[in-house]
Amino acid sequence: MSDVNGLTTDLGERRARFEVDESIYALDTIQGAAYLFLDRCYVFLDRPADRRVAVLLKAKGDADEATLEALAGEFANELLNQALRKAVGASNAKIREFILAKAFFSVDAPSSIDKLLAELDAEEMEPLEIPVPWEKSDG
Amino acid sequence: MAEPVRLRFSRSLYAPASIARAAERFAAFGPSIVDAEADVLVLFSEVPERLRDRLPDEFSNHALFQTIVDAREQAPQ
Repeated sequence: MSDVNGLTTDLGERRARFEVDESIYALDTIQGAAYLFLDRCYVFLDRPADRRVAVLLKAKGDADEATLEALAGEFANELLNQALRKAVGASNAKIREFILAKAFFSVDAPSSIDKLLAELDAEEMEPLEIPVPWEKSDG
Repeated sequence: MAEPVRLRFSRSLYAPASIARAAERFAAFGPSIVDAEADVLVLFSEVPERLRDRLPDEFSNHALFQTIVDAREQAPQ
């Protein structure tokens, strides 16, 4: 058993196991980290207790203790990275929406309403031939 | 006849539908799925002896991958 980045890690043959507190790292954060390790090792998640997620990393080939410790450490770092990305993403959501809206509405092409108005201006307006009382008569 | 290979996945961590989709890719190994209360059990009945150690690990990765991908597709943008 060893302590890797604050995670108590059990090291076995080709495997490292540690538990993550879900009140600190949300499940999608844990999954986000796990996703990035699927090509490097076998990842298995289990639920040993309420709000706790056990992460089992199993090397795809031979691995010594130092390699397994490093793998667990990288996973712990990735947990932090994923949590930070999520927090930054959430805090920037309004700014992203604003930038998108600004880009969408400030396109330099005339809007469809402007085009219609321009067409109306360009047309020769036919007089309606309805007499208006305020027109002065020539006589 | 060899004992089936049994795997257990917590429903709170793996989506049953995603496990089923992953199992479709492993159809050659005779998978069957038992949806229990807290867990989803997957049994493989046709596993060659030389793959008995490796198959659970490979399938676990597929089940986790499919669960994450499906969750991301369903998540609001």
